[in-house]
Amino acid sequence: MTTMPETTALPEETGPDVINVSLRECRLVGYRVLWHHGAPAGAIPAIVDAIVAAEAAGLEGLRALHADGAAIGATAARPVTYTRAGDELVIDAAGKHALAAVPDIVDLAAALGDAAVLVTGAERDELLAVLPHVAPDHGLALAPDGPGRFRCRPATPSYEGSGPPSAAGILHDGTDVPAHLWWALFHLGNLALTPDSVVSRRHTGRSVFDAQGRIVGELGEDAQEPDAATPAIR
Amino acid sequence: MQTAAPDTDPALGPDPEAFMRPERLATLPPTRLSASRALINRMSRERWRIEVVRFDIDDRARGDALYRVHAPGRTFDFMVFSFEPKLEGRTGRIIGTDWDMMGALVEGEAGEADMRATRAEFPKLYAGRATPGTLVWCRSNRSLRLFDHVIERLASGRQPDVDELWRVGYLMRNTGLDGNGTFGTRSYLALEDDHPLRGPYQAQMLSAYLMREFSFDLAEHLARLANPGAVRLDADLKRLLGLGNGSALGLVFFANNHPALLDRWLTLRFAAVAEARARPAVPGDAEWNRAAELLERAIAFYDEDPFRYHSFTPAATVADGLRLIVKAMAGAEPPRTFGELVDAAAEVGPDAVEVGNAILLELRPETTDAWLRYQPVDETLTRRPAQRVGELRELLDREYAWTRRFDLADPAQRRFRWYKSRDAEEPRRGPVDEVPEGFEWALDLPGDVQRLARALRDEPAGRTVGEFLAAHPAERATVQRVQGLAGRRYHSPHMNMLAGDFTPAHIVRLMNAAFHGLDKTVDGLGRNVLGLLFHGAPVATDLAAGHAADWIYPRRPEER
Repeated sequence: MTTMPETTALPEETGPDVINVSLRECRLVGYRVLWHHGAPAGAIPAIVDAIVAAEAAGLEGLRALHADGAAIGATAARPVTYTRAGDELVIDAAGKHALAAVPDIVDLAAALGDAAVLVTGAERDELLAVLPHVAPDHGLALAPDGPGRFRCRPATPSYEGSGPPSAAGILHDGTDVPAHLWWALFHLGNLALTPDSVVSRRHTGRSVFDAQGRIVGELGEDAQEPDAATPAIR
Repeated sequence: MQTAAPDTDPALGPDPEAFMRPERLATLPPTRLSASRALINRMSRERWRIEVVRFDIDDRARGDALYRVHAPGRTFDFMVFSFEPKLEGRTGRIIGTDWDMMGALVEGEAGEADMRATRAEFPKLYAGRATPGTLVWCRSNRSLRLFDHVIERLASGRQPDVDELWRVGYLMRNTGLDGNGTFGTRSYLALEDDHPLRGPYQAQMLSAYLMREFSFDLAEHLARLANPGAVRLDADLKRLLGLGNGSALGLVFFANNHPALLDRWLTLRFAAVAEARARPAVPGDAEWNRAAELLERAIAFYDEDPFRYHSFTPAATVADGLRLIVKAMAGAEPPRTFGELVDAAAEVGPDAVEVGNAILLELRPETTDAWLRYQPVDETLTRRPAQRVGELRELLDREYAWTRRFDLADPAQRRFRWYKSRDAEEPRRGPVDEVPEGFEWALDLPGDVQRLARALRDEPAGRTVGEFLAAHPAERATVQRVQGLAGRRYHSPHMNMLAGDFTPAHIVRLMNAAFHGLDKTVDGLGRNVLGLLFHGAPVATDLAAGHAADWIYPRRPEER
């Protein structure tokens, strides 16, 4: 975890009201925002996939990330539990944010093969509506069947070698995002980066120091390459 | 995009236990499967035409230019924004904001509005937005050593000093090539199956090639403005000059983040090499003679290499190894296969053998190039939640035994933290105690796998992985990587990148030399690698003429 302060004043951006962002950018910013909010690195990618799927499905995944990033991050590593009631798998999300719980739900449904899944105890449970969109990525079909309830059956993975189906729309066309929302997420994500400092600049490996520790040159500038590219005497 | 895997025999590839060590991976030289060479060979074969649509640049190098690339069935425009070099604050690092040129490769023809928007947005980099249809943003700086010398010589009616050209090797040096979704550029996985740039790095390499072309055009243009009677740079000297390139820690992150790409690429390379090595070596036949010719050229190339290498094998040693192959060709008992032939170099180390393998890939170009169609890969890794914990444990034991080589209780194995600076996201690495608040960006496979193994240890073998992950969500990324890559052999270098004795330059060179196709990849400080793209490659007029296929291992030109 970092103790870096969160900025509230965002730099002003100029440009259009809506901008089109790529799948790569959605994933990268989503990852960084959740990391900043304390989610363990190992939990993040699958949650980001759920956020991207929600965005692609018109469920405003990025807006949810902005509004609920702290809650998603805080509950990302929380375990979920399950019981069985007949042919129904009942998953207690234990207060986990719905988007953070999506990977757990999908994994349990795919692993246990029950005919129905009922999810209880998820925060922002309306966002569980993303489940039918994520399920095909994992060889599942989940069909809504009442609040928090989904009929479940195996489905042939619809991969055609072009990434997960849930992200196909964004892969090909990007997604249009309100510019203020995007830049807010962008700058929030940048808090997962480390502030520059004198010490940090020494970690670039490009600067060349003299015996007193002063920077006297930089590798990559060919007039100042005393080491890397000095022609050998042969 | 079609991303089907080839049908290859895993037994033909080397043992990953030995081969995936960073120092071994660093011995892989460029081949015709490397991105830059593959692009040049294709452009030459298909006679791509490059047209200078406009070149409005003043005598201080300020202005715009527009290049148009005519590929089969497609047109690409390359916008160039040129600037007067500033020495103050000049840096080849990504944190730089003043470059000598910025370029943007776009699909179709770029209009004035595209030029204006790109010029305004590009300097913002990560906060900038590319125009629709943009494939790459790139930038470069002049060689401080060479550029002015070339202009002065051309303006005075003479060719530049060959020794200077040979010792530097480029007029401009790439300082950044970004695409594949970055800044809103097109996602390459979404490119159509008939797209000429669908292969890995092809769009970036075309941009790099155009930067190289621009470097020639700019030098000649500035010489003419200085003196209308200036001569042009001789074509054979242009061919000698590549595009300079400096790479560092960012490529280690790239290797970490693209395991499926690494595996696919290395698998194809090993398959192609195995195929070539198995062919009979028949003294005096066409392939034998071609191998002999290329060996002689390669020996001269390495003998004449003016650079000093630090963590890498000296060029002279590589040349010595190649001479052993030539000696074997002249021996009383010729080898049965080409593989046996190039193994004659093994006694001086693997580098010369790998150069020999690269030469073998040249003997039947069409056969080698047929593997290129498999290079695009869907990098999605999927979990297998129904797998049993016992099976996952066996998978870890079978494919990740190498991670146990590192004693993670030893502080020396945990010396560094890898992070990204807010200063233009520059990758950095420093001792942990000097970066106490930084996020750890390294891929710590030894740590991740050992931690996962401990978490699995007390689980019932028959429990599903899905149940395990519901109880341990923080292990999901490691499980997904392990399961998604199961059965693939060449996806992750066997390294502990947090260790004090880890040399990042080994991985940087793997990416630069083997994947990108850079020659003369020189290491500095164990982490930076400088090298040359398109060293000896044909220029645009050669491509259009279609007589540019045989260009590797350029000779040092005679002084003129």
